[in-house]
Amino acid sequence: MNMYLHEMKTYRKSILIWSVCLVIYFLLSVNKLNALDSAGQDMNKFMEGMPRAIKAIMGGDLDISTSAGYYGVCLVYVFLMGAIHAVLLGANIIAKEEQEKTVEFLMVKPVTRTKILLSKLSATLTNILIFNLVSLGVGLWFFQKFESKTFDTNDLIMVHFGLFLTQLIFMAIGNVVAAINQKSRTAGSISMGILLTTYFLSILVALSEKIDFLKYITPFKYFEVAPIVHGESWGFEYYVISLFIIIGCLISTFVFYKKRDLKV
Amino acid sequence: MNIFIHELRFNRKSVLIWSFSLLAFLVFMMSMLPGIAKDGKSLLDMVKNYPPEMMKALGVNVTSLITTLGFFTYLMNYALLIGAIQAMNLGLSLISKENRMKTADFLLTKPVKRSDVYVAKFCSGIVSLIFTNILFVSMSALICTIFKSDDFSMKALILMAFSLFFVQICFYSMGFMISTILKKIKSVVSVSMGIVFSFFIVGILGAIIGDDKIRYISPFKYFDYTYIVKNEGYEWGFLLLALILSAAFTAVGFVIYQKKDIPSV
Amino acid sequence: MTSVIEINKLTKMYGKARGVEDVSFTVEKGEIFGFIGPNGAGKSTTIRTILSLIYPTSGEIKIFGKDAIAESHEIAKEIGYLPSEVFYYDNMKVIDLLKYSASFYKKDCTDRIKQLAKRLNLDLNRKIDDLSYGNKKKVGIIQGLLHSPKLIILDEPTGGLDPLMQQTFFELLKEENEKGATILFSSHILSEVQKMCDRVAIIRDGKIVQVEKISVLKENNYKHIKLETKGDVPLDYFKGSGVQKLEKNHTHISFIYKGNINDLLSRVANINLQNIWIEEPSLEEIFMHFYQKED
Repeated sequence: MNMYLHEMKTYRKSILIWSVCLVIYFLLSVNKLNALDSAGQDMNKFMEGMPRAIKAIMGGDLDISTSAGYYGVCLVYVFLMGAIHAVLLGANIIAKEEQEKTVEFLMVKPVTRTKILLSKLSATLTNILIFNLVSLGVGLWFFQKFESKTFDTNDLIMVHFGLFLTQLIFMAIGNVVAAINQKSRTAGSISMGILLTTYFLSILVALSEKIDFLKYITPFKYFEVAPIVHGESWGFEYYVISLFIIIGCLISTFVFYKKRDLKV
Repeated sequence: MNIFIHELRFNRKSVLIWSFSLLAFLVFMMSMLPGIAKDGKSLLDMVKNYPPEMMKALGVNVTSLITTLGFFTYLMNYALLIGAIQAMNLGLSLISKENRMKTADFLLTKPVKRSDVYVAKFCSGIVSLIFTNILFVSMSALICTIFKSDDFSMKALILMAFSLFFVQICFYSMGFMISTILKKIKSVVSVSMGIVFSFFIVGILGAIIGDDKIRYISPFKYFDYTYIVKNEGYEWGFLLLALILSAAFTAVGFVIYQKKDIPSV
Repeated sequence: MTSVIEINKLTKMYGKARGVEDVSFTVEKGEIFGFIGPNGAGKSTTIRTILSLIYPTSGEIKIFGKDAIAESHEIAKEIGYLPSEVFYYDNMKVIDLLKYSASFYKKDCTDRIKQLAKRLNLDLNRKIDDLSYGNKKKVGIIQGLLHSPKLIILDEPTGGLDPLMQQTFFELLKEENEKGATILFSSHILSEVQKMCDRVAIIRDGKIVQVEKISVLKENNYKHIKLETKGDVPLDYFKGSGVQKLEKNHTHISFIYKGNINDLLSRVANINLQNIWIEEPSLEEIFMHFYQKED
């Protein structure tokens, strides 16, 4: 518990900054919605007939003339922010002890490495939950204010659940990178590299049908906003893959961290 | 000179990785152009009926969407993002790594002026960025010629690709200044991501909201590609703004670094 | 004699917190000058200001007669500095770091590097990351001495070195000193200072308490007196001016005395003694006096 509290304290400022950024982001983007919803032009059918590459270039599958579609477009960047938050947090919370040379201090205390990791993971999870609660809260407010007709609260919560799952995946990736990577200094950069690679991969997948199969290796494609907005749901296989990645990464994190030679 | 060379050597791996990531992205994206162009031609008429808000949001001229330059415009939005992260990382780390690795004492007790340290480090970063841009501009010209969907103005293409350099300089010098202000940067990546994505998202929001004033805030929006394609030139006002900002960041960082107390280990 | 370091009324504040206050002392050419005080007294702050890593709030420092802040890069050509903790760039071999270090002083230092490495028994081709603390320290010593500086500044330098290496290190310093180098040696370990230094400055709570020759400190002022008496002598008998740390254990009485030795002897003459010891006090005992806060 003391370690958990310590980590929460360490990241207090960071989660505050992220939350403020989220709120500002929503406030800025919501500004325009009034004008959009009144346009009331439903173009979903029209969009369906378009080649996917054009759709991707035009901002994805979403029709921004509706409030739901517009919200979806806004949320795309919240997903990106959330992923960055999760992957950096996941990597840094483990790597920082070696970076800041506090690892000896911690390891000679009467605690097991497993317990250290558990405390750190719970702190990470709490931070991610706060991130999600803030964004969901702002989202709910968003829809109350504009009384959207095209999107109900259940869909909204579903979309945010997707955000949460995406964050969990990236958190676990950050964890495992920090646990395996021998040089603590580079853990953040490597996790960030993985994130950016998968992000750009998701853009490429959106552009071309030929590389459609790659959608399974970029978490940004698992829980996209568009299907929910269109009244569909995410494929079952994505849940399986996510679970597999999260559990796999977490188990490896524990295994590798326990065997790790800690360097100062 | 020795600091300059030391820094170049120290950063060469990361410069190479960033440059080649940028190139890989360029090649992948452009290789899709022929297919997209084929699909898209029949849709051009429909596209004309889209609401104007959407067009603004995308920051592209829709009628030219499937042209070589139009598609390159789309690609450049992301190339700028990658480039900005590279530049911000570099700018933030050159000075701050001495504190993080606790080598500041080593370096600054050597017979060099702080101003020389600053200039040597700054120049080594600029050289890295020049390397990235030479590679990017020349490869853009080559790859666009290979995958082109229609004839295009090479001058406009090169001007577009070269705008990366100015955006990078903006972020690089901003990072340099920030690293002199902050006492200690624990994680360069975190700070860098936060700053770059803030500007990126602000730029996109500006486009969605359609507020012209936001263009001045985000360096991502200093170069309007529709304008470049049409006029085969930069908007001088914004180019000047980019250069003045960079110079100001560099100068402020310089002054702060002269007077800074170096934190002890 | 010309002075190498002149510090005049140096004050450094960290916001409102004290760094050092009103510090003044001079180090003469060719001497080994000790700088001693407990943790947090301001030793490192003073040294880092001398090196212009941090800037003084007020006061003036001159090194080789030049202003330490304005001409720091000129002065640095002749300074070798070994910090208390050494950290170096990732992914560099020892020899790469030393060559980088040497490249700042327009001299060829290759032979000197090899010679020093041999002396200190350090493998030049290892990666710095993989070195032990003591070996990193050796890298620090070599990079501080490789350009044969005229002023060597050491900030608690011996931590992490084994006694044999300390011996070699002190020999190296003595050799440099004989060649004309001035040495400023900061430490909280008194025996080191006692062994090495000609003069010391004692710093406490950010202020210089005393600057004195080691020999003067030891010889002129203090005697360590121990008495074994045959009968019981009241403790109050010795209380008075010049007596400190008065202790009594059955028939044993001990104290430190500073003052006219004849006065003391005439008082001792009135007691029936079993035994008497008059000794030079160790520096520790002398310095405890300066270290302890006057409450």
